[in-house]
Amino acid sequence: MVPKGGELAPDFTLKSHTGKSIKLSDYRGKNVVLAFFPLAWTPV
Amino acid sequence: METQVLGLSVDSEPCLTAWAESLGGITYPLLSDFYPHGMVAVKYGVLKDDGRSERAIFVIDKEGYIRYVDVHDIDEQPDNNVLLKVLEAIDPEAAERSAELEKAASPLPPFVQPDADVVMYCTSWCPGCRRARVWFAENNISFVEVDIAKDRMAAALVREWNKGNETTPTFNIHGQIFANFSIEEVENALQKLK
Repeated sequence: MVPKGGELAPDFTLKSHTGKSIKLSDYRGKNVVLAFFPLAWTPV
Repeated sequence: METQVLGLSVDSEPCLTAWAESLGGITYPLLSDFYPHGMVAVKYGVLKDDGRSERAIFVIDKEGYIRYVDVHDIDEQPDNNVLLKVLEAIDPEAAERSAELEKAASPLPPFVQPDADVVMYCTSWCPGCRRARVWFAENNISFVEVDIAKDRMAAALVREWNKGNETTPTFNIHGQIFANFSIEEVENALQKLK
């Protein structure tokens, strides 16, 4: 199920391409744009 | 605007590192949703049966609530202008600040389109650009390339043509502008040249 607008965004922690651990909830206080893309080497 | 962009895909970290390097460095983190495979994509309901994720955008506000959802067809790129409007709507103060910044920034020299019948706006890495180069060479068609990763004003022009997206390749064949490489479309455009 795709979460709807108005719902709390599911939190997660993932490694970035530079090896850094990134936690979504660490960005509270900022707007966040999550952009899912199918695979690397395709336009973001 | 106080906005953090996070890119996510189910690729492994080394793959994303290589991709980021090929793009000439990328200004936001690309996150690897590789193991357990697509776990975050599942949480957001965008993992497909083939193991890839959809092309999807979620805008999350400062309190952590989802304010905008857009799931796209895999081959279609999201409209960046729509996205910008959403961000401005959820954060009007930031919108004002970014407008001021834009005014203060000194403009780059304008981009002058090359004087050639066939112009391809491309990047060094994009697969469609590579296919187009090969096809042009095979068919002895002369063309001029503009690398939009290097020329940001040319990139702005491409965004103007493609609803805010830097779609590559984008062609300008004597005033006929279209994105993505298809032999049929290029042949049609060339036909009209004659």
